[in-house]
Amino acid sequence: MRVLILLISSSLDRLIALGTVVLGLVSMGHEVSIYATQSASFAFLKNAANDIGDYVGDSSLLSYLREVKQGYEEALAGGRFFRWYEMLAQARELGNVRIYVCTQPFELAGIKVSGNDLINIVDGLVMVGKFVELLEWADKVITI
Amino acid sequence: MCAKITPIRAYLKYAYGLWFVKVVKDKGRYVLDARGYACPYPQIFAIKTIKEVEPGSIMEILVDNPASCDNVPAAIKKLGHDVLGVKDEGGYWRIVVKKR
Repeated sequence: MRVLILLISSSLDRLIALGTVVLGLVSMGHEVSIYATQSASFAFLKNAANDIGDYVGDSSLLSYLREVKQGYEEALAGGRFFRWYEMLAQARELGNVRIYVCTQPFELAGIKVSGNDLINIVDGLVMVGKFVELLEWADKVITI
Repeated sequence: MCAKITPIRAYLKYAYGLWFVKVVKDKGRYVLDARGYACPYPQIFAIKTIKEVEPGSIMEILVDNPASCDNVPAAIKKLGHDVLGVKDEGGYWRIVVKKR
């Protein structure tokens, strides 16, 4: 199965979900393409990827969210879990994963970005035409 | 009981460091300890390891998350291998599988 993931969010909870879903898919032999846009584009910057830290949810859940964040950081420190981009790198080792980052948010922000500014798991800095091409390729589409 | 540690393609190197699966071979069975790891890693480690062992091998996967008792066997079966049983060891579970 070919799965396209449209990634719009840059919050930690959604990026962990991304890593988990991608690992799950490739471990079962499926192919994945990720198209990151809007705030997700910025998450792939070399100077930003490691700083992603907002685990977002409803205000009524704050105490739980704090516990998740704390548990996540403890698991990272203990080598029992991995950062969101490490999960994607692991998935690339296991199977066919391609990652594309949309240029539009950078253009709107007036920031000049090249491939060298992005973490090295990114396959290309692209525009909407690539998204349409991926949509035609995919059997299923997920939005995160 | 002494277990001889037999690394099986012990690590894969990737851009951000190493990640590795510790597997012990004990009395002819491979034992993968996935306790302490959150989803998706029990499944990932189980799949990664079963791909490396010889056909006919028996592998025991230790997990401490109840959901893994469904998730890991389902993944192993979907890949065409046999699940021989899931045993409650009190505090953790032992999933026994056989590679076809």
